[in-house]
Amino acid sequence: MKRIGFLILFLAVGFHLKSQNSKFKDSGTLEFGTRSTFSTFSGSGNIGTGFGGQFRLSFGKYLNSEWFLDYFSEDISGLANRNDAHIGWSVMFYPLKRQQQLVTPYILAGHCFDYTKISLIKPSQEKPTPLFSERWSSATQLGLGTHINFSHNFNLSVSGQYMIHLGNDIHTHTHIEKGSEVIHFKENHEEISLEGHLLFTISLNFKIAQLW
Amino acid sequence: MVKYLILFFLIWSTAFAQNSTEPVVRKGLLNATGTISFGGMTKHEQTNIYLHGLGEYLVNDWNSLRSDIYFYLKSGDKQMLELNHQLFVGAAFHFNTNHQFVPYVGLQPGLALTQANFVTIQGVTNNVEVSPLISVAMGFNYYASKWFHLFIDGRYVSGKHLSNQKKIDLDELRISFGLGFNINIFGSNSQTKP
Repeated sequence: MKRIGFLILFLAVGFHLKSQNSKFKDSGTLEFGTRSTFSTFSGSGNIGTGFGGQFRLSFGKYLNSEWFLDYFSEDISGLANRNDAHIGWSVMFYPLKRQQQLVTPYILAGHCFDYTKISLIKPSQEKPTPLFSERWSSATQLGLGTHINFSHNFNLSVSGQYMIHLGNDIHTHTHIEKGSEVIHFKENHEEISLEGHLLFTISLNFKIAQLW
Repeated sequence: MVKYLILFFLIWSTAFAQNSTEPVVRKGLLNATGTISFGGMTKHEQTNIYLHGLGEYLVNDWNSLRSDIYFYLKSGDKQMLELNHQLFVGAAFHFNTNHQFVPYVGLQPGLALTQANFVTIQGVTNNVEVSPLISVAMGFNYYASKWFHLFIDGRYVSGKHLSNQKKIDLDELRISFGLGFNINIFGSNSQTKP
């Protein structure tokens, strides 16, 4: 409870400090935001939806950084549930000067650590399979995005990025048993795979402090 | 008790009697309210009732950081969900802010704590899940006085609960209305609008 109090106080102080100035600088600006991410994981063809938050810390006219945490859930065709968590960072490069304008495009690239868990709802009875499987891995991502600056201290950002996981894939197979589609994990799937997925993010960001 | 009620209504009527021409909606405005909310699920025949609380802070004269919390109370006879508490954090854009009638639109990512209400066999329970949501809100505030406003808030919520039996779409059209409290943390005359 105390932590929440300190967080509210921190945000209030941040807003209050910046209320004295009408404009933030290009460097040293701290932003806070929430985001929704839509994930199209490879193979399954389903779309995962995610909720997350982020901080941004800028380093100049051309450079910004984004520190994010996302949680996803995905329905795998009614046969299994997939949950993912991503924690990571991206460097954002602005090809154009970041003057106050409505649209500010950027290129982003970064790295993240991720957790994946797949729980089977309709497991195969003929092929013995565990009911769930989980893994930790890391990933790297690259994409494009843009800020839409509604004011000097608030922006909406949209981005699309391709994320490649650098680790063992959790592989599932489906087949028909007694007229119904069922699912099982592929056994001994140890090879390293470059499993990737496309992420689309929309975020709402507030500039809360000028750190330097 | 009666004295307190009389005092409350006196303060209330005084607050509404103030006829300030100064715009209320400015940077630094804090809005807060609590009310009952009703929602109709768009992919299931079910009406949900919630306790709804919201807090909002205007970071400039148009944009606000806004958070809404919905505490799920109950549904009708065909209650599909045992739990469906929801939290949203996002932003709203306010129009016409030099006047008392201030419409807004908002976008809020969110999370739900959900559990299905399916019949289960012995030893198996319905799983509790954290489900990501996204919500688009629109409505208006009518600032009848310096401290209080009337509001109507409508929103569309999209998401799904992944149960261990089958998924439940949480898509819902929801409405709330009532009286809200507002105060400007920078004071009434700290800033003037163009």
